[in-house]
Amino acid sequence: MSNFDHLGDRVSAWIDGELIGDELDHAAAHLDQCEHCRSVVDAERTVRSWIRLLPQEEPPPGFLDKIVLTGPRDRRSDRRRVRFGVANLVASAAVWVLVLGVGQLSNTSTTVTPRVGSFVTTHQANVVSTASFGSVDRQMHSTRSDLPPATSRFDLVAFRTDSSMTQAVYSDGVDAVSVFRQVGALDWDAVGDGRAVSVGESRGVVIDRGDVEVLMFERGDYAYAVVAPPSSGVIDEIAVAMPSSPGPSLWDRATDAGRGLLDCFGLRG
Amino acid sequence: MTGPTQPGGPLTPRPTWEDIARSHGRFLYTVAYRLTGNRDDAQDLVQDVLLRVRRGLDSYTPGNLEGWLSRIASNLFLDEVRRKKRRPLHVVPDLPDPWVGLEADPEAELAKERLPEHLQAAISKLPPEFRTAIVLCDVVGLDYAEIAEALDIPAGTVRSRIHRGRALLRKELQ
Repeated sequence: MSNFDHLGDRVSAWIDGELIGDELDHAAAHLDQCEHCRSVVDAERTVRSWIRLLPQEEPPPGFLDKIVLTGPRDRRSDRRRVRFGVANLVASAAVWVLVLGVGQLSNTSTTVTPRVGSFVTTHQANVVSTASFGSVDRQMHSTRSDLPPATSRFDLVAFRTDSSMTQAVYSDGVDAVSVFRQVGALDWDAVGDGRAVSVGESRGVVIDRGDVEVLMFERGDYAYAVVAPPSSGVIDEIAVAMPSSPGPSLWDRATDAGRGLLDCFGLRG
Repeated sequence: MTGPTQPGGPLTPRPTWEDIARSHGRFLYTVAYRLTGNRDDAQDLVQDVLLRVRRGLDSYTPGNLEGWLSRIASNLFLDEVRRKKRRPLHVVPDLPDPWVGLEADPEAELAKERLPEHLQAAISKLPPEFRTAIVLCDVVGLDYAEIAEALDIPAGTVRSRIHRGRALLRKELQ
């Protein structure tokens, strides 16, 4: 090796003190004579020092405490469970709609002006403490034997309905998801900016609201808002899970529940 | 709270995974954030590492705990990168404001509020293999032999990745 061969990737090793023996001697001799390599060393040393001076990052408040309390989540298992769980979410919600008899097909021409902030506020008011879900769940099942015993990740833990809107709240004990349904067509101009997604063949928009995401979309004669934490993956799973071509679902065949039920959660488009 | 000592070597009690989460959670989150470049993925990576720690703590020989954690984090990160290459996802990067000047000395520049995020953005643009080598070297402080062992690559490859990664960073920041 000549002293006039530039150092190349030995620059990093020189800076990091990783050169020994002949390589070290040659590098030192070369740097004495080569202004180019000295400038490369200076520049790389500067970048190195910047990286080393970067401050430690702060995890979100409560993040580590929650892990210690509940144990680290197995995301691979979660991915499998979410796919199955969303199917159960849709199915259990459909059963609930069947039970309550509110899944009738409507031909209304009402326009729904979405109140994204209200959905978020309502969702958060109903899921203040996920720790309370267990008791809510037990209470509901003790008093409402007609509600479906949800399986897999998401259990139906709360619901409310009035003349214009229904809300179903689901939880896996960690994440909570609200599904709002309202008769009418969405006023898209009022939805606001967000990430465009496809929900089956329909248009959807995902709006980032900090701790939660809101998916707005239409199916049949209904406008929907799904509120879920971004980390749950539910929003994207729902968007993906919606069939692009309408057709009879397993649920349809199993229950012969009728068109209104299928339309309710978009199983028939 | 500590776990049992390792067989035949009772000098240092082996920590529990909860101990590690508490004592090294911030360090682990920092490494994860440097590797992934965004906070959601960093949290996921921390969860994955702690899950692996909980399952594999018996195989840990008390010593360089941060090195062990970083090794797990790096390999899980690279596994995830390869998985996403097979199933591409849309990633929304953090977009920094236009770059500030870089001529002043490092200490002064780092005192500026925005430099860390620009530097992080530049690190996030590095090829994952270069990024991992640089994080292990300059964030964790491993030497080249330790990095080579952690990533199961030759020491010469470590040297090359670090040099090329720093050169790309310099170019990105200029």
